[in-house]
Amino acid sequence: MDDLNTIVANAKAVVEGHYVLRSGLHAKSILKTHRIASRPAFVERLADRLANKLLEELPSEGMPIENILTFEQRTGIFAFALGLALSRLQGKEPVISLVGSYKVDSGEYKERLLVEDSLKPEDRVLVFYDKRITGGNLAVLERILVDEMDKGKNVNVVGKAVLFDFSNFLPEGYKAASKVISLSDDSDYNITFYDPKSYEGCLCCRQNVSVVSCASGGLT
Amino acid sequence: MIPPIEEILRDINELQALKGDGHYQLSTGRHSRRFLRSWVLVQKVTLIERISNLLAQSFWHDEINAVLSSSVMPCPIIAYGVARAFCTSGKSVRLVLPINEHNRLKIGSSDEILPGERVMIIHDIAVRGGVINQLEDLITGSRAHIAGVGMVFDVSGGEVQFPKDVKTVAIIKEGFGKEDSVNCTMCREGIPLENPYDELHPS
Repeated sequence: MDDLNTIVANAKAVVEGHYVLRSGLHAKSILKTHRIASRPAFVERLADRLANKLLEELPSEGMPIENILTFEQRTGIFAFALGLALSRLQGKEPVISLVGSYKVDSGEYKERLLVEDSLKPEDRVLVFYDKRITGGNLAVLERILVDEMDKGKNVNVVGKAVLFDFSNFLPEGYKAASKVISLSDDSDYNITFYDPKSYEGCLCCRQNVSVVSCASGGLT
Repeated sequence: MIPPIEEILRDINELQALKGDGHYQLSTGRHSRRFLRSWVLVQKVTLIERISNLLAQSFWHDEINAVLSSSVMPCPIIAYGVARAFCTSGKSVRLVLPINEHNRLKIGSSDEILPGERVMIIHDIAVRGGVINQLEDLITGSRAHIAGVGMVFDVSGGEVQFPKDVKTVAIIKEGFGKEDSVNCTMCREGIPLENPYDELHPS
């Protein structure tokens, strides 16, 4: 944990404000993984730790990981570092399958694989995102996998992993059903999320703190 | 031992990234006989590592504070790989990825380029240099210096105007048989025109 705290602190990744996430939740502080992604030394340390943890915690039939399914941009950078770390540890290079968001003719955005055939039948796939709050982005990735299976690609999902898991507020039943392997959780950084629609609402809203920014731009 | 460039070309062929003997519409509007689907390169981490290391080695003895690229894949991952290669050799180099706002690149609130810093530009394919010019503007607009430009493919045929005295390195240089869309030989030959970006942006 000390190393993780040092990385987060040195990258100045926890920022204070009044953030509105795409999921609708509000937060008084958020973790900007973008700030970590810009420092290769930090990214490498996180990737090495996660790769080791995956090897320890995933069942042996899930190994070696053959494919990492994730999003473009900063998460893709973490996935690249994780892919290199896994290549060294498991002696087999996983393919990186990136998912992007594209505007279609109707004006809506749809997520799809950047390279259509990057997932191969029977691949052992790790679903990866940099952080989880409500799990929206992981759910999008899982939906992509279901679509691929509908096309006849019977991939094997070996697990889900994130660097940071901030889903402590989610119901236990949901969390148990959607287990992820992570390096840390929200209790480590004292990050609290508020549902503005709940009875208590958002603390920042009650204190009239103006919304300073939208968070990461993902569903998180 | 296979030279690094041979290994890179072998991987590019394995990934079927290079499309040849066709008639392709480039993003610049020009037509070309060949086309590199650069986005497929990100699938193979050791290929990106090889490309990044080779680009970093060309600037090994230069002072670099940050690496800047566009946010379009595979550029961010190659740029990260270059910054990583510098860091592995003991240098402190960070990655800066601009955001795209109304088709113009700008530095987001989480990033910064400080005045006086030496910033290296990384790009996948230089055709006319439009993106590279925008990245240069971001650096000079921050009163920083362009430390160099590293490209995987330079297919510009010398058309891209780089600022004087800026070191530029391309792993692979070739013409790709580009032609203006008016008076295009392939159009005259009746070869059907393909838009390779349809693969990325299906309707």
